[in-house]
Amino acid sequence: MNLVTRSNHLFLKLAQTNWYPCSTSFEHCTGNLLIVRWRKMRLDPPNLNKRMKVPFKNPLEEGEQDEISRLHQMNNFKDESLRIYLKKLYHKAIDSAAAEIREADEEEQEHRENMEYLNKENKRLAAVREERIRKEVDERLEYVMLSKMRHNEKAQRLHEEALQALQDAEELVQSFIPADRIAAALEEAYDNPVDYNYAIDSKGFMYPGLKTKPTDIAPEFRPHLNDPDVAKIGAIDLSPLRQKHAEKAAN
Amino acid sequence: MFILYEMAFIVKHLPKIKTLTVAKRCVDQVLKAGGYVSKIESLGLQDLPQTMEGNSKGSYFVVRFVAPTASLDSIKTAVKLDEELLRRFFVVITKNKPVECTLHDELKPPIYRSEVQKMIKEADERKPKVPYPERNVELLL
Repeated sequence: MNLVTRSNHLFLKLAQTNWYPCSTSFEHCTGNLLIVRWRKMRLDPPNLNKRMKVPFKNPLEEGEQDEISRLHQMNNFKDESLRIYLKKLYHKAIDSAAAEIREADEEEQEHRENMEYLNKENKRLAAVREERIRKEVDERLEYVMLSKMRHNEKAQRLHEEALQALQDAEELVQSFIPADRIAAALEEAYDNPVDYNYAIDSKGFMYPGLKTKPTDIAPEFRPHLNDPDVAKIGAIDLSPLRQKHAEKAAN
Repeated sequence: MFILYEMAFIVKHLPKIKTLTVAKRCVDQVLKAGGYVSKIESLGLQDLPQTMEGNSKGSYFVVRFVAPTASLDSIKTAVKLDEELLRRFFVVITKNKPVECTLHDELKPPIYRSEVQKMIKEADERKPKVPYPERNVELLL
């Protein structure tokens, strides 16, 4: 599209080259032509015919300047208040950030103190645990030692018991009566009966025999309970008594 | 390890030869069962505590022997069937525990006896060491 009108075409070529189009209109468009208004730049020199013209300013009414200055001042105040408000918001945000940083520092400090306390407590508990474990180990070792000693004692005792049983068995085997001597042993036993009965007085003296009277045995012949020979029952020798009875029967 | 048995029996009041024959017959049962006799004792002719089968007297014998445990029942049965015996007993011999004479202690007054002191000590130990807590009146109110 050709942006230059027919009317302005010559003038544009003659006058200014730095003019610029300020508005366009399609109302009177005919064919491929467009109506354009042109305006010169701000620092271009004024037209020659208006070179000496002084611009006329309308005088202000009374009080209008004051009103304008007041409005201007109010506008400045509003701007100032808004600026102060924004500044406050900014400082507030800054303070909150500082507070957050401070809180984080405090938390870090508290965490550090807690960790120190925990480490100290862990060390103390570890010492207590080590002491306890050492004590338990000592007790266990002592128990093991005692049990080992007890086991050895038991083994020794069982060994001695086994040896004793073996010895007893050997003695018992030696005391076995052969089959051909059974009749003789029976006759011997029949001839020499054993009497396990005995009486006892309050002083511990014994009177062997079922039908023995206290006067039958002289005090020097009376066996005592504490005598080692009388420890096993049946070991009381009745020969003095029998001898006495025989003498009595003879008389 | 031997198990020592003791067989005691009472023979009727018979002449010596017959009594010894009966005793020999009993002991032979042990030998027949594979046992060995270690000791033979006679307690003599004694009055019976009661009349047994019309007898007021009997000869007491004690025989210690070793025999297989499985054959003990056969010995018992054989001895039980003997009509000349009034009574028969079988026991297992165990070792006697050593006994100490405590007569001097038993003659003391009860409070000084060791057994009584032991009983008192046990009774004291049975008492609850911590007394029951007293009832809190304030809580009830």
